[in-house]
Amino acid sequence: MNDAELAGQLSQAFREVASRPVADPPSLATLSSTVPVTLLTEHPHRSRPIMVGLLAAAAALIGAVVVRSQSGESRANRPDYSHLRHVALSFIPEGYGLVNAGNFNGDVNEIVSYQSGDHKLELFVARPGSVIFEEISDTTSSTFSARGLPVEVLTDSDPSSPWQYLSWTEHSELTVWMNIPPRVAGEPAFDENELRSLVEGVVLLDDDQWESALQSSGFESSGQRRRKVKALEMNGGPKEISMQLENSLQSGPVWFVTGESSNQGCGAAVVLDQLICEAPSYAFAFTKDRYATIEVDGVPASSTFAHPGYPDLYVIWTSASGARKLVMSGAS
Amino acid sequence: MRVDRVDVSEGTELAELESLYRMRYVSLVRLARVIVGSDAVGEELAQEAFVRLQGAWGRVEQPDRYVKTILVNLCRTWIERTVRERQHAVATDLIALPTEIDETWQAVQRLPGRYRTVLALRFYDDMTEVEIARILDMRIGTVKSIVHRGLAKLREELA
Repeated sequence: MNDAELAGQLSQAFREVASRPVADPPSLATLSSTVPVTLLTEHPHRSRPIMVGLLAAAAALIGAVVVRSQSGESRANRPDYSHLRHVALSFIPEGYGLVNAGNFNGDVNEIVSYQSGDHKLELFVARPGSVIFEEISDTTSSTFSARGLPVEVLTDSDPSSPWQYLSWTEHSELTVWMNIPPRVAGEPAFDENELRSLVEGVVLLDDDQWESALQSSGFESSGQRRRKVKALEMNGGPKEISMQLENSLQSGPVWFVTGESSNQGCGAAVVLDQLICEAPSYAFAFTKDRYATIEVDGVPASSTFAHPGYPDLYVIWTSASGARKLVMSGAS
Repeated sequence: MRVDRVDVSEGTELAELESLYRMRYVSLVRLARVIVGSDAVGEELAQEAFVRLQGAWGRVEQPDRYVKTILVNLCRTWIERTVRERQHAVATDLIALPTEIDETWQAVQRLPGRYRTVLALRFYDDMTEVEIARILDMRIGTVKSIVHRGLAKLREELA
């Protein structure tokens, strides 16, 4: 069967499904009178107080899980923690320990969700390695990278300080996907105890606590929401890579991905003026938008990898190439 | 999920919203059910999309496009959340189809969520790859790759 025939068959199946009768819609007034809390009504985890155990350290700050039953009735115990701006996730370091932004790998599972005012925090279980997060605004549900840096991320995946720091802006929703190792086929579904064995704690911080946490982690704050990252060590991947982030920038992104492809889910997306990679064993980097300059050992790099349909500049950098320093700079 | 709402009590605005709701609701339910594989969830997601539209009404230049974007992203989110419980979710709302079509449909349901979404937009909603890239916030190359690989996966499933 060729693509055209298969596409036709697929289209027929879709249309058959779509053509089934649709119940009369409720009136708009009825619709708007019900405040949806979450859409995942069948999820068996939703009614489980997983986060009570997870958030033992922050139990006073966080209340109950916000849920919505299948019938559309909401039951919520909403504590007022609208003053909180930040969430710090602590992991037992394993796996790659890097941060992925908007790099959904299709293997994510919800644990539970919370809501406070305009903030919504959702934690997910996915593959090992890191935190994946996404900001959803009123106007679009976009991936992280396409919106520049709507949600700031500061991470320090030093195994001795396994904290991942995130902050998100007011009037936006933040989705956090938290990764744990993949389940072996045939094992029972993950449970709270397992999760607790992997996650040391999740704490919501107010601004003072946030600043304190930043300082103790070696990050400096500059400006209300934009922070200068002096240095960022990313360890624990298949190879060790050190990146020095000189400045944050308001546009981007620059993607820096270890491994053989961006689909492996062990990467980082950061917004910065300049990214310097010191002697990694293996790196795969590409840049787009305003980031037009990539130098390898002081020499402007040309694309070393062409991916059909991708206009980005790719540089594949391996230890075998002998390169010692990779610098990606903003064009503006 | 709390939605900030603007006052749509003025007759004109409410009428416009009502009109769009009546005009687009069914088609959006159909699109959602094709993506998520569930009648009930499709209806709920479509309703949620309109609730969000109402919340943003007055600030959205293209309400029709906005509500569709919201719907597709709600579908993606729903799929992502139910990856591990996919069988459970499908089992509660099984869509029965004629045998010759059901095989294809079931194969589609076994695809990862992003494949299902892209294939539905491409081969049900007849969106171009450029349009899909825009609504899903993906590169065009990614969309093309997903379409190609999605068809390949389907072919394997149906072989």
